[in-house]
Order: sequence, then structure tokens, then C-alpha cells
Amino acid sequence: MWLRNILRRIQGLWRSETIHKEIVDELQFHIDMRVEENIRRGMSPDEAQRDAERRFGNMTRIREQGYDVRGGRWLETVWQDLRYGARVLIKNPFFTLVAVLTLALGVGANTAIFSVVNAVMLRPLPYHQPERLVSVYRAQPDPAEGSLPASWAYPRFELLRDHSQSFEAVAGYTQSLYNLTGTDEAERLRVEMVSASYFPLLGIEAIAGRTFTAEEDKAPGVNLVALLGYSLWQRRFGADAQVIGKTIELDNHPFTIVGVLPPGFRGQEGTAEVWAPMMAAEVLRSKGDLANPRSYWLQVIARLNGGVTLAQAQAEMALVGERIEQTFPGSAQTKPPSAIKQVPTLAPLQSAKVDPAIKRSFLILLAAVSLVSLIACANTASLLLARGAGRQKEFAARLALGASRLRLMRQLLTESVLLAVIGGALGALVALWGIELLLNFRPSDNAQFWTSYARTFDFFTINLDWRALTFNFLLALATGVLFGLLPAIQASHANVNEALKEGAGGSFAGFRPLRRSRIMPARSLLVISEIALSLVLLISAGLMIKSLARLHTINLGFAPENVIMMAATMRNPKLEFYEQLLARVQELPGIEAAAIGSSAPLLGHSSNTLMEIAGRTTNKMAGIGFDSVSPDYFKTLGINLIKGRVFTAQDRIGAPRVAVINQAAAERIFRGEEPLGKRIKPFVDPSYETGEKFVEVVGIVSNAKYGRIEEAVEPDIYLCALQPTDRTQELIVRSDIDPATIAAAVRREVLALDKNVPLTTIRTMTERVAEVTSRTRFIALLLGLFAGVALLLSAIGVYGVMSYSVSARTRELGIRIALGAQDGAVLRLVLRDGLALIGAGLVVGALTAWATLRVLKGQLYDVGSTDPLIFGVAPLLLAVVALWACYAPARRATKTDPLVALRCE
Amino acid sequence: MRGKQKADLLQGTLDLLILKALSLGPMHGYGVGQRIMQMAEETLKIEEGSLYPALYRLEEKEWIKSEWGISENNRRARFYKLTPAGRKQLNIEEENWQRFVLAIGKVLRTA
Repeated sequence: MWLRNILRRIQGLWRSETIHKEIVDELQFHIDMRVEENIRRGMSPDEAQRDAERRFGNMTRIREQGYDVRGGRWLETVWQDLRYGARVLIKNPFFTLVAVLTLALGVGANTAIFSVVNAVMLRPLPYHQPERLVSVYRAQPDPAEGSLPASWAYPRFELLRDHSQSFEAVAGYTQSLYNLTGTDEAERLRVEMVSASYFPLLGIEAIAGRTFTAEEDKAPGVNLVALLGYSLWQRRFGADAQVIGKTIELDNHPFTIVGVLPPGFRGQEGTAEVWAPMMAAEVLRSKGDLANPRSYWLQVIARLNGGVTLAQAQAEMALVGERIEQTFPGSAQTKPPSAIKQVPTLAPLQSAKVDPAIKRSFLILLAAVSLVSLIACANTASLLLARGAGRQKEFAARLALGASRLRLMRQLLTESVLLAVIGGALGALVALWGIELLLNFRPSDNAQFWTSYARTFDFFTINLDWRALTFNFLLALATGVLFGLLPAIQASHANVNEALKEGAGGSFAGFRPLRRSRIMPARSLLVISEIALSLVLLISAGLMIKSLARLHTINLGFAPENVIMMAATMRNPKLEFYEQLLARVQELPGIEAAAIGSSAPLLGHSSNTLMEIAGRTTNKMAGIGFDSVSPDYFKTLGINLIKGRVFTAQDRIGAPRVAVINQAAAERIFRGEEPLGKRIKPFVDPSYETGEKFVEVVGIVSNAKYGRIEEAVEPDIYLCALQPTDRTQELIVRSDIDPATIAAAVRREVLALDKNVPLTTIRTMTERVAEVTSRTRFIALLLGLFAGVALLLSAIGVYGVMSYSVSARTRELGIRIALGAQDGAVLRLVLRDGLALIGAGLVVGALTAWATLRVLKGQLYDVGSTDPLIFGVAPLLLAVVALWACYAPARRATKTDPLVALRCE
Repeated sequence: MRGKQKADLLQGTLDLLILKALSLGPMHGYGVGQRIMQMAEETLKIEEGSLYPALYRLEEKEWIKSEWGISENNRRARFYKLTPAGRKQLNIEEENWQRFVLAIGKVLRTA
């Protein structure tokens, strides 16, 4: 009904002519009828006509009233306002452009960031009733262990599953890499081993075939079946519908394919492509792992029973934990009992999947972008106020000519809404573009930046968040309406006579700066807050950029340029294979050096080990980084020898076993003693249980970073890969040839040796360095971007206020110039006002930054949150830009022509 | 009959009369005026100047609707018609009016 009315009225806009004519026709009919009647009663035609018209009275008014009802005067007025508004906006292109861009940036940037934040940590997990899913840790996460949630041993998991009442279902999972074998092109696949309850628990069903059965959950290593992820099914099996029943070989074990999973599902870590039953651990992991209550390797999720709260379930866990401890006693003896809390701990799956560090990063970005929005709003407000103030005369004239105050306000409202709508629409575009930008510059997937949570979704499906867009749009609208109307309200209260007489506002009352009109304080406040907020952003960006610079100057302890890394992984590493491969690769053209190692710098150690030193009675030392490497490893990576020697081709099986340690080990383990010649015993060394127990330290090398580059290097030891240790997989090559060419050549050599060994994760060390710094770079880039926008906006804000102030003081300045004030004096006079605003803003901003930027601490490297350099440079930069924005209006002031100024009324 | 020959309309009663007139069937503006006059046996004076604004007002309230038609003398005329909502309104206003008349009558009798 209501809608039909509006539609009729809108129609009326296009048919206003017709409507007028229809009304005239109708009234004419009436008059004609009356005339006929009158003539019938004996009047003369003239008399009849006159009488008919007289009876009507004011014909025009009746026509107008009819038109109001039929045609919609209301909408016509809106249309008129819109056209007038558009004309006003077009007539002030600078104002319009700045206001629209400001709004678009504010709305767009905020929407984009919020869309991403929502995508990576807020939206519910894409499972059935995700709010009832929980992660079950074996014990409380231990901050000392890097807060890694403790994994479960299979027998303990069984007890939990069978003896807790709070859960509708409990499932275990674990993900590892295995080789896809038995094909022409071997590949490393991420395989998630899961209990049969896993898929029903999540509410995931196979799109072809079935998921795992309870039968397949019982006997270790018997029913070897597998499910394919959608992407693997597409990629390796050409989306073959007949794939069910075929086999897929993982580490040379054949698995029968029983189903295909829906697209987008990639397991709990968000990267799996194949699923196998937990029982396959018997062949894929080591034999007996499933029965070992001390081998901790699986994670557990559960679905709460309907009506059971997290707290109730947690309370039950105390009993379950006790039962597990009674069944498998003694596990608490390895550590001081106080450190062990063996009560299973629950956490909502959603929050368990969001890394607190990443959450903080995004909250910081969200806060920063909100500041940008605030600045944008302040800027829009200030622009609208400035323009409103400049139009006081126009308003006064319109009021004097009989426009109602309501009509005037409606006009201004229309203008503001028009601005907000255009700005909002552009803002949606900016948001789309911003999301694209964020996706392109997002930290690398390998940088451990994205949580398994983010990966649980298809990352590229980040959409514009309509709620955020609506919210920001309404904010823009509210700003526009509020500050657009303020001048109108003021104008409607003003004395029309005075306003018209006073002209551009100034007159002689305006000698005190900042108090020239009633809205000046409001506008000054807006500009001061703009500058303050911008300074906070600038300082944040400065701190991040300085951190990034610091990260790049960190001594990595090796030379990353021209290093290419490839992984060639065998289920049971054969030294022979690697020696042959190395020999062949060294012969390839363009290879400066080549080596193999169990890992490489920045990839993490292959293992951490306990170690003891011969002749020492003190405790074993824990957490020593351990790697086995070939003789040329140090040369290939540019790790410098400090003392002694590195491995040689003579350090083979049969020769005395030797070790190389890093400087950190030399300093912290041997503490001034000469390490060379000392005998040490690393526990992970497979020969530890058998043969020779101790190896001799023969060399000391520089500290190469294996872990996070912002952390200090811990003691590391290297053993020689030719004196076999397990897990040799990384092939490292130094060459200035194109990495792709090298990789292709190496792949040919690998294939020639063993076609079941895949060559994977080919990357240059420079890429890896970029990866590990990508989070800092990402945050620095965004904060830098925001700070740039903020700087621009506040410059515009200052310019707007100063321009207005100068134009308002035209008469005053004219008199001063007429009385002999020099250019310099006028310039100083105007700049002094500007400086007062800028100075106030900078002080407020610096104090705010000093008090609040503590929140950045976790993101900063080697830079304090109150870094004096940044706190000095950022305000200076802002001051220069702001002063520059003042300068143009000030210059204009000196050009004031006294004659024009005095006559300007 | 004493005093004025024709009674002036009380404020707001025109709407009621128009609705009543249209309840007998669709009619154009002129006809509505005529019909009211006839029903009042020429004792009421309808200002033609206020008839049309009233018609438009009622149309806006959707108690009546209008469309072009052909008049009894074969001319193009705008015909008004009561809507169901208008019929309901007519009942309400009729009741109100009866109560009003009753009340006024009581007051006048006591005087």
C-alpha cells in the first residue's frame, strides 16, 4: 500500500504534465456541467459561465491541492532538492571530490579490513553446529613448550572416547606428509589420519562413495582404505567418477579409495588432500604406535552433548583424567609432578584454531583502520562545517526570500545524503579493491601467519562483508547529516538581517583567532583530533617500518642469495641414493656448490635433542638443535667456519664420528673451555643406542638462524650425513642460474635414480627470508598505507580550516594591509593560527601514542613502543605537511587587495 | 423554515457526505455535489471550491478511487468509487455522527 503510493508518486514525476492536464480537464467538466445547468435554469450564457466560475473560488489553489495528492508534490520537491544539490556539488568540484574521496576511503578501508578479519577469525566454522565443537588437549597447554597443546597417545584417546559422558562424539586426527608412490610422477601428499567418528562428528559427507566405517577403526594396519580430497581428485584423477575401488599408494602401501570428499574440505590443518583411517598408523607411522600409551601423536576434537556446557564437560574431564592416569601410571615421573596437569582441557574449536598472535595483529589493523575512519568522518564533518559557514549568506538570503527553515534544512539534508550515497557507493568499490589488495599482499601461506582456522575456509572466498559495509555507510551518512545540518540549524536561528549585512562573517569582531564564529571551536577541535589520530597512526607505521628494517639487517649467519632448496624425501632414507644424487647434481652446469641436509636454515631444525658431554656429571642439556649435513653444506649456505674444520669426504662410515657445533653452543655449553676435541652425545643420534656413543667436536661454525629470525640462535650441533643418521631430505644448491631450470635438471636426476621419490617444495632462500618476514611486512605495509591516507586527510582538514579562516578574515586582513602590514607580518598572523591547531594536535597525538602503543609490542622487533627516533620524526613529518597545507591559504591572505576587501560587502 | 435558507456544512462533515453519496454508486465530482444536494433536498449548500480538495483528500486516504469514464451526456469525466476501506470508514463516521447528533440534541433539550 505504502509502496504503491510511493511508486505512484514516482510515476507522477514523469507524468506531472499529464496530471496537471487531467485535473484541469476534470474541473472544466464540472464547470461545463454547471454552465449547462445554469442555462437550463434560464441564465444567459455569459452569466452562466461567470456563476460557474464564481462558485469555484480560487481555481488555482484547487488545482494545486489536486496536484499535491495526485502527482506527489513531496517527491517533486525531493527531486528539485536533488537537482539543486547536485548543482551545488558540481559547482564546488574541489569540495565534492575531497568529501567523496574521504568518505569512500573511510568506508572502503574499514569494510575491507573487517571483511578479512571476519573471514580469518570471526565467521563460524563451516561444520554442522560448530558452536558445540571443542578441542580436547591432553593437558593444559604449557607456555614453556611454546603453548603447544599436548597431543594424545592412542590408548589414552580410547579411554577418553569410551569413558566420558559429556560428548556426543569424540574423534582423533593427525596430519603428516607421505609420498604418493606407484605413479610416473611421485609427490608429497598431506595425509590426515582420522578415527571413523571424525566425519560424522563434523557433519561432513562424501560426495562419492562413503567415509570410514567403525570396522575400519578396529584392527591396526588391516583395512587400508583412503578418501580423496576434492582438489586431489580433480588434479591427479581427472575427476574420474569411477575412482572408487581404485588404489592409491602412500609410501609404497596400497590404499583402496572408498570415497571423495566435498570441495573446500581440507581437514583440521586446512591443507590435507588424502584421508586414511587411524589404524593405518600401523604402516604409515611406526609399528606399535597405536598401542603405545607414551607415544603422543594425535589431536582430539569432540562434539558436546546437547545441553552440556563447556564448564560441565570440563568438570567431568577431571574424573576422566584420573582414570587415564590410573590406567597408564608413571607418565608423571619424568618431570617434576607440579609441572604436570594431566587433566584433559577443553577449548571451543573456533578459538582453539585462532592463534592469539594473529588475532592481535588483526585487532591492531582493525583499530588502525577505525582510526582512519574516524579521521575521515572528522574530515567530512570539518569540510561540511566549513562550507556551511561559507554559505551563511546564501541561507540568509533564502530565508529572507521566504523559504521555510524546514525547507532549507531539507535542502541541506539532501545534499549531505547525496554526498554520503556517492561516497558510500565508491566506498564499496574501494572495499572490493582493498580486499583484492589484501589478498595479493597477504603473508605467504608458508609463513605460519594464517591459522588452520583461516585455512579451514577457502581463503580466496573472502567476500565483501555487507554488514560492515552497511555499518560504515550509515556512519558516513550520520556524519554527513549531522554536520551538514549544523550550519543550517545555526542559520535558521541567525538574524537574517545581520547575516546579510555582515557579509563574509568577519568584520571587526574577528580579531581573536579561533573565536570568529560559533562553529569555529567545533572545527578547530575536529582538526586537532584529526592531527592527533594521524600522529598515532604515523607513529605506529613508523615503529613497524623500523621493525621491518631491523629484521632485514639481522645477521642470518648464512648467505641467502643464490641458494635454492628442494626436498627429496624417502620413506626409508638410503644414503646411497643421496650420495649418487649429490654426485650427479654437482656435475650439472652452473652449480657452484651442492649439499644435502636433514633441514636448512629458516626451515627449523630436523629435531631437538638432549645432549651430554663426556666427563661431565652435570645434567643433560635439553633443546639442542640437531641436523645432519653433508660436507659441502656449510660452503653451499655460506655458513662460516670459525675454528677447527668442517666435515670432509673422509668422515664416512668406519671413520671416527665427528660433530660440528655453532658458536652459541661453544659459548653456552662449553663456557670458555675449548670445545674442539671434546666428546659429546646427542640423544637423537640413531647410533646412540648401539655402536659408538660419543662423537668428537671438530669444528665451530657461525650461528645460522633456523627458527624465528627475531629470536637469538640457540646451541646447535651438526653430525655428518655420510656417517648415517636418519632423515636426510633437503637438497641445497648454490647457483646463479634460474631456479626453475635448476629444479627441472635436478628432477630429471631424481627420476633417473628412483621414480618413487618426489622432488617438492622448491624455493630459493631469498623467498624463504621474505616469507618469514612477511607478517611484519604485511602489517607495516597496511599501517603505512593507513598512515599515508591519514596524513593526506589531515592535510586536507588543515587546509580547509585555514582557507575558511582566511576568507572569513578578508576584511580584517585588508585593513591591516591598508594600514601598512608587510607580507611577512600577514603570513605570520595566519600561520600562527595554523600552528596553534597543529601544535595542539601533535601534543595530544604524541601523548595518546605514548600511552596506547604498548599494544604493538608483540609485533615489534628490536624497537620500543616509545622509540625516541620515531616519536621525533613522525610529528615532524606531520608538522611539515600540515604547515604546508596552511601555507597556501596564508599566501593567499598576503595577496588580499585592501580595496576589494573593504568593499567586499 | 426560519433563518438561513441553506445550512452551512459543519467542519469535517463534507467527507461523510461524499462517502455516503458514493455508497450509492460511482459518480463524477459534479454528480457527487448534485447527489448530496438532492439527498438533502436542497437544504445544504456545497461549496464547489471545497468539493474537489475533499475528493482528493479522500483519494489520498484510499477511501475512494478514481478513473476516467463517460458521463451521462457522453463526455469524458473522472468517476469516483468507494473502496472497501471507504465503506468501513463510512460506517464508522455514520455511527459517530449519530452519537454526536444525540449528544447535541440532549444538550439543546435541557436548555
